Amino acid sequence: MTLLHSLLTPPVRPSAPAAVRPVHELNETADAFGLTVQLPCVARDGLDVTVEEDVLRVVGRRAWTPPAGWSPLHRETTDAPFTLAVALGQAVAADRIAAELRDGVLRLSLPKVEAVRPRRITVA
Amino acid sequence: MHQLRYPTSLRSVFPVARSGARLSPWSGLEAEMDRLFAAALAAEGPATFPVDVYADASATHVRAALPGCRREDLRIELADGQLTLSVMPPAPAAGDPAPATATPAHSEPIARRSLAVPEDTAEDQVAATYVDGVLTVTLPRRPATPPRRIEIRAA
Repeated sequence: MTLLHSLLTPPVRPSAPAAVRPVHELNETADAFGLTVQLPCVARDGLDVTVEEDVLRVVGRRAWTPPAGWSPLHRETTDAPFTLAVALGQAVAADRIAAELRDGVLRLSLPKVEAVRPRRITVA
Repeated sequence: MHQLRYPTSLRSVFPVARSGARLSPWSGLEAEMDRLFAAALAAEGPATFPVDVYADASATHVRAALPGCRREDLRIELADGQLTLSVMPPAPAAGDPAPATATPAHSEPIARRSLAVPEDTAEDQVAATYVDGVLTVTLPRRPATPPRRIEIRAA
């Protein structure tokens, strides 16, 4: 009954989502993971990068609001903040994470802990 | 026990909400199929990017989300009432050795978007800024010229 009801009731299209997931890319080198997050319209003040219980969380609030007198004619972006959560597990040294924000792109370097780095053993 | 089938024809009439409790059990599969179809049917060519358009008393403002671009790779062209925003592939720096395959002078943009601009745009006063990965193009309006009255000479 619930499913039938859900099929027959047109869902309300959310006009303003609470948050949007940013376009992002994760890559890996021997020593670190690299996370690139696209956050257009986000400045340093509106950006929060936190690590809590092995979850990296990126929250970016848009730095720009239309000045008085500007009326929107056509919108393809939302004003909702960007949020992204990435489970790091035990592989990342959280205390050595480095972040850089430039031109709306956040680049995070997530260094691996010593235990998971590839190690070459020299044969004597 | 009846197995409730999800008719595909209904799907187009009642689009599945992106979030909330009314999410169909098939939404994941549907989203994936939509994505595959979109990818298969997508036209070849440069990528696109989202654009917002605002207006105030004196100008139209176009804001394009283009994170991580170099200013020199952004191209703004205004011709025949069309504003074209392009992101060009990065040009090799002056000091770099010439690549094996020389980049043609008119290389294809990575991303491109064209918009019709208002007829009364003062084309010589268009200005642009690039802040926090957002390109803002300001298209001022020409002040309305009063209609010119033409006297009829006595023959």
